[in-house]
Amino acid sequence: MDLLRYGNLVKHLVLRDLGLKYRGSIFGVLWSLANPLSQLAAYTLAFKYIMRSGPVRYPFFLLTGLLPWTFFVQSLLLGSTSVVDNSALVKKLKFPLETLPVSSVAGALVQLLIAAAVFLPVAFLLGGARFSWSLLALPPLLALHILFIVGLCLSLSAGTVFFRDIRHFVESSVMVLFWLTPVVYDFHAVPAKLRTFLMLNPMTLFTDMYQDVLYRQVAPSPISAAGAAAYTAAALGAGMLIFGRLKSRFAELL
Amino acid sequence: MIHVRNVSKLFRVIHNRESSLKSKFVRMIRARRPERVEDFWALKDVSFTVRRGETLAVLGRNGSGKSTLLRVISGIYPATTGSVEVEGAGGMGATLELGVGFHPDLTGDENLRLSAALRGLSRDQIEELTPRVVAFSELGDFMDVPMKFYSSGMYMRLAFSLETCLWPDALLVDEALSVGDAAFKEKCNKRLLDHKERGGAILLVSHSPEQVRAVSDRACILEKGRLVLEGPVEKTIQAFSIMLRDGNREAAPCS
Repeated sequence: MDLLRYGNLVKHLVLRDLGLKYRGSIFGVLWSLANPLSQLAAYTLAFKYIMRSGPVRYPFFLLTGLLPWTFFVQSLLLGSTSVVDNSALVKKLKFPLETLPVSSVAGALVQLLIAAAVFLPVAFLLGGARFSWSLLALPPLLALHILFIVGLCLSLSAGTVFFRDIRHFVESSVMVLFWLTPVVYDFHAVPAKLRTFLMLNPMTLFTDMYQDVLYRQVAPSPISAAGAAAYTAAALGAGMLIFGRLKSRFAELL
Repeated sequence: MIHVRNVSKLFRVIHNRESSLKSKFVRMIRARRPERVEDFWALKDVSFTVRRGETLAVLGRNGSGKSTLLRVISGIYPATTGSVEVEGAGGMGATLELGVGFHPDLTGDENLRLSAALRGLSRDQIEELTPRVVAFSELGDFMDVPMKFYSSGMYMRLAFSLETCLWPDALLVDEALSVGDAAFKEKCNKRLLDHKERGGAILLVSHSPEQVRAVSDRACILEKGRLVLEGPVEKTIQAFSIMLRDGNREAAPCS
């Protein structure tokens, strides 16, 4: 199957998933804005007004980390169960199974793009940011982030066929990982010793780069870029290897 | 053409298997309920050829390996040994079940397009296919209605129309197609005969003698994963009914 048909299939799977998710609701896909908006309000209240900490232009700062984080979590939660959830298809049809985790990520990406299209212009106006050349780094950064997440989802979705625990493992790890990722606090305000530890978390590197590009409006730090690229290569390589090795057994095990 | 050469399929049946990590860990510490692994040959050294314009019927009891055979040929299961080769335009179509991938909350049109995309059709091919399927199914007014509001007859009509419009040269048909009333069955059989006349190769898996008689040129019997007989339709059906009778007598000695 060539890439065009593969893309067409992903498109239809995304349309199915998003269509089903919001079918029958009055606001439809606008609900994908509700999640970041409520988090934005809650964290601003907690950190800016109650704890009285956090960097300047806090809501804008928060947004630049929160949107990619939401994309990451949604992809992982849906992606890890994507093969198991579609067992009826896997058992009865021959089709490229990679499209299942890929379409979970693509669905989360659509929601990210909707949220970004609504929130970022507003944040730019209210947050006092201007056009900066650093924005040119956004497309390659997002592309790298997508590849990283696809790699993770390939491994997780294949693993979930064998161990259903992975779903629960993902659910509880992202809760912990959220606080180990500088979304609500500034990475550069963290004590130096802890900073090295936080940098082991790939999402720290991505979040820092998103903040560089959008919030600090500087070129992304080369250390973060190199680290993120290495993590992406590892995640994608492992994902393709694991999924490729295991996929022929999915139909028998589901 | 469908070539099946010396195909065997081994299933590892694992008793007491729980698919969780906890049970793995528990087992490492104390082997109270050990996993018992049993080898089960669902198919053993199966070979046959279906030529263009020919229908080969595979008869077999429940559990004889018919569905496994179809899944191996269609590539859903990998064969443990042996090889499968398919020639002809459009590759292979497997009708393991009608309406695979249909979702009740999606409209007829959405389901139609999703199913076609799952079968590997491109955007242009889907645009070309959709009106043909709608015309054949005579469901024009209902295509924008969620399929949960369809009657079971309408559901089958759309599923069947889609299926037959997608048929490539080499076709695998499971018993799935023999559901429905007499008129529907006849419609199915007619489509199969048309397909054959146009040069398609059909592998029909069935335990219904009427359907086999109606569309097949040759028949074979699958028993415990082996092809035990291959020959003319009538002779094979007779052998199969004797086998069924003897089998039932063994299974129910009281009667």
